[in-house]
Amino acid sequence: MMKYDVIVIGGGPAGMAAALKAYEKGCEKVLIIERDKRLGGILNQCIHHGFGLQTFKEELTGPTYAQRYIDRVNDTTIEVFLNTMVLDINCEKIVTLLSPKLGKLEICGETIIFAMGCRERTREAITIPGNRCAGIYTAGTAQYLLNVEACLPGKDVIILGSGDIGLIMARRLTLEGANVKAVFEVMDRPGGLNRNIAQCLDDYGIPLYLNHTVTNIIGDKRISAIEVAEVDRNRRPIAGTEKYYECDTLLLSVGLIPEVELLRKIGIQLDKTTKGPVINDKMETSVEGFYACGNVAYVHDLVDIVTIEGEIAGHNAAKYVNKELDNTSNVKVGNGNLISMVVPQIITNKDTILRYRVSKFIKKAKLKILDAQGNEKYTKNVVNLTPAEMHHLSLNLDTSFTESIILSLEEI
Amino acid sequence: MIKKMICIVCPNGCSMEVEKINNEVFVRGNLCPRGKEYAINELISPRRNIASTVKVKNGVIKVVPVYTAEKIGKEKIFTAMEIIRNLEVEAPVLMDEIVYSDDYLILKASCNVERRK
Repeated sequence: MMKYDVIVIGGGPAGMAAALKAYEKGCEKVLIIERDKRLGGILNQCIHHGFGLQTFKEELTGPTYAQRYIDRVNDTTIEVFLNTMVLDINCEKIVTLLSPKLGKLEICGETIIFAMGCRERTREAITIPGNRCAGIYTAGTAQYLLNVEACLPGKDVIILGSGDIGLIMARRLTLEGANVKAVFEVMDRPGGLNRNIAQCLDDYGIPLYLNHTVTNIIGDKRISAIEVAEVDRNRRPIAGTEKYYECDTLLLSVGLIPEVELLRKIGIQLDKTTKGPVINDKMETSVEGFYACGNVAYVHDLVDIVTIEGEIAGHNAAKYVNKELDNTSNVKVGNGNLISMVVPQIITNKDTILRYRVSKFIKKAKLKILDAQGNEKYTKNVVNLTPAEMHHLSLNLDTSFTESIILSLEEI
Repeated sequence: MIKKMICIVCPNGCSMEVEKINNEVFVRGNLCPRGKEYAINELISPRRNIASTVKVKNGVIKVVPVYTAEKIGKEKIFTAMEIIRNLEVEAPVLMDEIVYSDDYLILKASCNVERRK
């Protein structure tokens, strides 16, 4: 059986960063397994600008950011299996894979790095009633069809969800001649960046309706109209506010979920708040020698952070292979008041960065670290925190005296 | 008259208030000087970067993503899209290679496209 020091599952920005770092730190046998016919991951279809401001000090398109890493991988002896799907993986780190070139094969890694990214929530996941007709796509699928397969998904489009993917597709479809009639958002604030509201909607006169959702889908073989209604503060549709919009396409931009099916098989501990695995600041999961980085760990906003964390995973996988194990204390991190999620969930190193999301828009608050007894160990004033972005806190903790901490917000 | 605008230069997306008094432009709400520059240009002549895809002949993928090397006037966006629609390039294509150039529009490839075997 072929043996590797590090097997990376997924060749997007997370997997490539992890593989490159492991290689740089002395691992000789590094393998990236990628299901697509090329490396790059989701960046291959994100043809717009906005990537790499932190990493490269300039804003690149997605494919350019990916190409820079692909070029580096090609300059190493890192092996790459393309068109290859991982079917199974077990606790002994035996990976079963399938590809036209290799057939069905079992290989073994001393360490495994998960970098499979995430998938999109579907119409079924949010249970929109009505006809199950053609013409309903998740925004990412529509982006793939348009930017990779050169296929226009539809001509009269409605978009549900004002996260960045929905906004970017509103612009992209308009540029290609489609009529994007409206974007509906169930919350009272847009889900994506302000600048995307400006350059994707305002620039093209596309209206955004907050506090609205799609309540019915009408069509026969293909969608022909949607019913929308206003929602109340609990996001329930208000009777009597229904309106109808004719369309031949509905795009859904309603959330991303880490692709953790392979992790479940190994019994890796998952976190309900992130939908990804519980990870520590080494990007290691609850099972030794298994690491996770990129969107499979938790859903990211910036590819620059994906790259940083991929490198952390790769570096620590290399340390494990080289038997350079650090000693470690494990401090659990929990999410407290107004914090919907915080990563990593376990800290082993006293110099660490916590990344978190808030559960509602907060103008002014005290960000606090509380210990297990509820004592304030640290506090800092923060302003203008939005749920749409991840925020971070650099910490220097005295880990030997703390068993667990809670990150919490008190509004002022 | 105070005009409200959102700066698109970086992910901060500062909400700004812009006022032109006599021949001077006053900007409030920007966290950096690039915001003021953006606001002034937006009043005089709004320009944008766009990204699209161009057909590739004999490549391993059907289309290559392209981007505008320099911002173009907002009013020229759909003319640019028409040019892009009629373009075709031959593989191999290299990242940042110029795939089209005229007085108003310079398009570069976003990534490599290998030639199909």
